[in-house]
Amino acid sequence: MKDLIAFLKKFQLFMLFAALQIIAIYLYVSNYNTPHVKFITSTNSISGAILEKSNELTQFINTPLANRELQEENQKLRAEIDRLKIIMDTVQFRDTLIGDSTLKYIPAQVIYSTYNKRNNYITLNRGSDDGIKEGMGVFTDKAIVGVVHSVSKSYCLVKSVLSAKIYIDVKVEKNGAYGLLNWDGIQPRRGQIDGISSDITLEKWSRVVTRGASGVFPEGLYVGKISSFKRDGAKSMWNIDIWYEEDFRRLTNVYIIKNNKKQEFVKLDESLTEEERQE
Amino acid sequence: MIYLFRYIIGALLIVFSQVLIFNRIELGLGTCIMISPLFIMVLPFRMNLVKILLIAFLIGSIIDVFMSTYGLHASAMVFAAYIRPSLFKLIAPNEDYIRGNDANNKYSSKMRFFILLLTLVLMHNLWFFILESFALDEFVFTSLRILLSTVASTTVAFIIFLLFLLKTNVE
Repeated sequence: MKDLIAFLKKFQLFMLFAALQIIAIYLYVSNYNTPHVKFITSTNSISGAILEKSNELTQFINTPLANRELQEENQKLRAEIDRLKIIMDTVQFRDTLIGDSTLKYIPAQVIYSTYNKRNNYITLNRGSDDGIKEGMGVFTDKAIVGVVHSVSKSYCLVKSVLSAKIYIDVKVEKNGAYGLLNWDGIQPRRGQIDGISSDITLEKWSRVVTRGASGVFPEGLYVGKISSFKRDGAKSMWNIDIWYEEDFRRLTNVYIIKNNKKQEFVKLDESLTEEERQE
Repeated sequence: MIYLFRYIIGALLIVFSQVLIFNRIELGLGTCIMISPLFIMVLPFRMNLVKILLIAFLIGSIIDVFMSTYGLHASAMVFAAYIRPSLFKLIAPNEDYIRGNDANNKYSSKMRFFILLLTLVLMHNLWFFILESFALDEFVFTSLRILLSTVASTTVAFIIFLLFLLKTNVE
């Protein structure tokens, strides 16, 4: 017994060190993919409020640029409305689906973001009070931004496309070849696509859009342009780099996609895989 | 009592400057400026290691909360705190140089502080980035990030030390 106490005394510092490490690493690993503990993110009310106040102090730096971008987007949408009006004038029909739209866009503001970590997160000023749920897609006019990772009452945390293994399904608009989005951590303007077989011909600067297969993003949202591609030696896959038009370091205004039929979509998807398993 | 107060203010300043200023500075190639190990360095020389470990865990956790990195900063800070006494023993045994006691040789005292800070930041960054990337195939990139971040962090932390901490310690 005496020996045991002496032993413990000798190693008490190491044991405290090990205990603290186990707590910290357990928290890190268990929350890496799916968040379990909600209060230890920047979305809790205290840190969220502090970050929002600090953002109010510094956001004037970005205001001119953000305004210009919103104006450009407005102009684009106006042109789109005019184009659609002309089509509506020539084709007279009553669409029963209009008015019961599947997708709803919720505007949000970025209050804090990181871009030099291996996995980056963005804190937005919308939360469960505004109808935000985990797994919703976030985008701007120029690119998709990420997927909602965890939600609190008035803030939400978005895992940005600048993360390893973010795996959003995207496709090349021209030929429909599809793969998964990834990030190598080096440049915040450059992402990668995994899983496009190298027998498919690709063109430089062709547009990449979302595929819309998981119900997070609708089909056809702009992601970026292919900036380079080379053959992966070992696998018969392309190593594709894509260039993001959006500078994620200067994000201010984003939209969150609320898909009203996502539940239905997920159910359908699950039933399909079950049937496939039975075969 | 006044010392305790001073350290609490110091800890808050370190945490908020880390979260609100230094995390917003982009140097490219995933380089981060991490000044939080500086606080572990300037804690009293003969302070009980149990206290240092708990303080490091607390400060790391607060940074984690703001940056949504869960336990990453806490883990690296606890590691840095744990190796602090061994570093002191290795590089400058039996010296209370941080308080500027060897007044007749200020220059070498600063130099030793710089070497200690560099080693501590390097150890902190090694732990932090290896845990963050969690993958062996990114070894080259991770090493580059560790190297660049250590240079950037040590430079900034040493400037902060020279500007704000050295004077009060000598007094």
